[in-house]
Amino acid sequence: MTLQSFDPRARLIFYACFTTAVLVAADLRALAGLALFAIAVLIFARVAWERIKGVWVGVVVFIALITIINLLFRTPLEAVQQALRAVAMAAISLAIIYTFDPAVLGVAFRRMGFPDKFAFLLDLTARFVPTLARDFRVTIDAQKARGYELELRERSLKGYLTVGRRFVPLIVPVVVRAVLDAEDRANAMELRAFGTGPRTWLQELRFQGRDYALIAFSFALLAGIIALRIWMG
Amino acid sequence: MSIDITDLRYTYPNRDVPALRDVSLTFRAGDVALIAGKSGSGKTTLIRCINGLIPRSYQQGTLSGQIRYSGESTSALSLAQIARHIGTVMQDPDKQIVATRAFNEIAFGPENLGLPRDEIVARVHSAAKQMRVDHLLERETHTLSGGEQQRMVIAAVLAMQPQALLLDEPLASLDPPSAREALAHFRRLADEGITIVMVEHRVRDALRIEPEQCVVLADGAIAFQGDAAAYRTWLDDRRQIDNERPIANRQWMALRGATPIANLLLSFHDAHFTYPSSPHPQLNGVSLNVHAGDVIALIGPNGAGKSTLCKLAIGINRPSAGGVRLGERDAKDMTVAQIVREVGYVFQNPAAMLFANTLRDELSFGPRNTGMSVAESERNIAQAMAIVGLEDIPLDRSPFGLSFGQQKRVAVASVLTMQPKVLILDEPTAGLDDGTAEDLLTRLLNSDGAPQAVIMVTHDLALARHFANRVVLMREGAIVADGAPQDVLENGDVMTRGGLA
Repeated sequence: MTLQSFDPRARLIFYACFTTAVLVAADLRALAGLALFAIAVLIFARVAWERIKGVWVGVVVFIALITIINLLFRTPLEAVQQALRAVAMAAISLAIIYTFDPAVLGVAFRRMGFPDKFAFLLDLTARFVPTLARDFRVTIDAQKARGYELELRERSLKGYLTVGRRFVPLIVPVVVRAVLDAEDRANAMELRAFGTGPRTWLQELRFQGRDYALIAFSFALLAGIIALRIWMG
Repeated sequence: MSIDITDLRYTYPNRDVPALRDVSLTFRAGDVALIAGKSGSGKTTLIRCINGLIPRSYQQGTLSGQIRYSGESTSALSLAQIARHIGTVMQDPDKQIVATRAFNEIAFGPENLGLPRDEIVARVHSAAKQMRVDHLLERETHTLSGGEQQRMVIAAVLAMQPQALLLDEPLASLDPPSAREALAHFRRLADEGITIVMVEHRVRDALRIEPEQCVVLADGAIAFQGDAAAYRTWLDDRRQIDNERPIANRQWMALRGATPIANLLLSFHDAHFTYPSSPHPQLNGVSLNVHAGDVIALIGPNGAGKSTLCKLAIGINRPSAGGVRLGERDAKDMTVAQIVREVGYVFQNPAAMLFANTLRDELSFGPRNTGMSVAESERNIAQAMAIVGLEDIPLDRSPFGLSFGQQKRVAVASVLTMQPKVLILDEPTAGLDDGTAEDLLTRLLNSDGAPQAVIMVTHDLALARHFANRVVLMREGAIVADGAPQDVLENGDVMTRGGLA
């Protein structure tokens, strides 16, 4: 049994409950438990370490930064709380996102009662991430061919301010293209009768016993954390 | 299904001149119709009228005239109803693909029609089989090749069981073998009774399937109408009138060719390259010398390594083994910013690079990045704009307000401003009609201050024959042939080995 074998709706409900629980929880033992549990889920999800290594480096830097700021301006207790929350959020998000097949994202939301157009919007977003990434790479190369260099030249305040402006030649072509292409894409979808009536969603989703169990566990966990928070004040 | 168009006239909102004026045409069931014409001649507008986007999505303009499918007026039909009659395949398959998996892509139309699941599945399989993509159904759409994507997109339209197909520049992104295969598919679909209407710039290629009807639009009106044979004659007559420019080009080549070729500008020595994410090498030891006076057409099937080789030339990619030299200097000792003053690279789509508010800012981007003085930059901008034939456009205009053809020229000019000795053009004719593309290349090869050597990466073999003094044929990361155009292009053996026969 893997994380992927659960119904995508059950996984999304679990994700929503778990992240809410992480935000609600204040007790250090509870937070530590949630963080450990999230890491266990991530290990259980068997996401290749190579794929998430880069993200973890970013997460660790982020946590270090947050912790330093919290230590300076808040209490040590709050600093540890925030750090544990960040670890739990990062681990559970990576586990869910990296095991989620984008092709079932739309249908999962549709079957949870969201309208056709909203659900398909999610499918489209998943579909266009690689296109945007490719456009971005081509633009970087095209601007390099005009002598453009992204590297920061001077490590001063002025240097950091200009770095924002230096992104303009990369951002503008990609955004302009995305906006202009949107008209063609909307036309293409209309010509294939999108949005003209109720549509069939080919993919079928069926809850199984384990999905009900996961959903029950998710709500129980959330209820438990809320109860704990109220009980402890 | 026949499509009858009577006195069709359409003016876009806020325009004085109609995009189509009094066009009357009949497309018969089972026929292939080819529609040609320069950019802005009204081809896209005609397609939008036939598939009903005008007036349903473009409600603001003024439309008059009639369109009938098999004698029935279309004005009362909704887009969903039209979609069951007519399928539209857009120029860039990537803009049409909405799903992450091929199976879901083909199912998208039938899903929107609200058909029962069993029927959708059956339609997906039969349409996939029809376009020979049944083995690709589980693949992710963005991993398919250009030809595969296009076949999938056509299958996706066929799954809605239309009786007519509108194809907007279906050959634009295909290499010659894929283009030939696509054309054969169109003819086969017509034989099955589907009306095929195809807009295409590559008319010489499209004529191979002998369209029953050829139409040329000019300024929104019909300039020519006839069968394939009549169209060939019409094209040949016009070519004679246009012949002066190619002659000028031949003089240029004779001039360059006459000087002893000693001036080596760019050379690759056993260059290898592998993308970090790929297990297969893109380049397997390429050696190539580019001299002053060379006009090289770099051809080969998609994925042959043509673009990868060009990226090595300007240092965006560095060889994993072997080397690249610019004149006397080794490229590995130079930054990209230094290299681009020696070798310029114009990307295929100008939209990938245009970003500035004014043409002046756009054109001075390269000179500024490479550390030129303002005076030098101004001088180069004026010269570059003259070379591409845009000297009359004020520099305070926005590049985004220009037509596609003008943007393409601006993209070329923005690289010329750095005065590279070698200029690499990636698909210089893509999206341009014949006359415009020829004019741009002729200017590039004949003007003062033009680069000393040009490399064109292209699928357009007619262009190679017409402008190049050398054709370099690549396949699977290696050079298969390098020689005079007639020696490579007319040699069936070589072309077969290069995967282009």
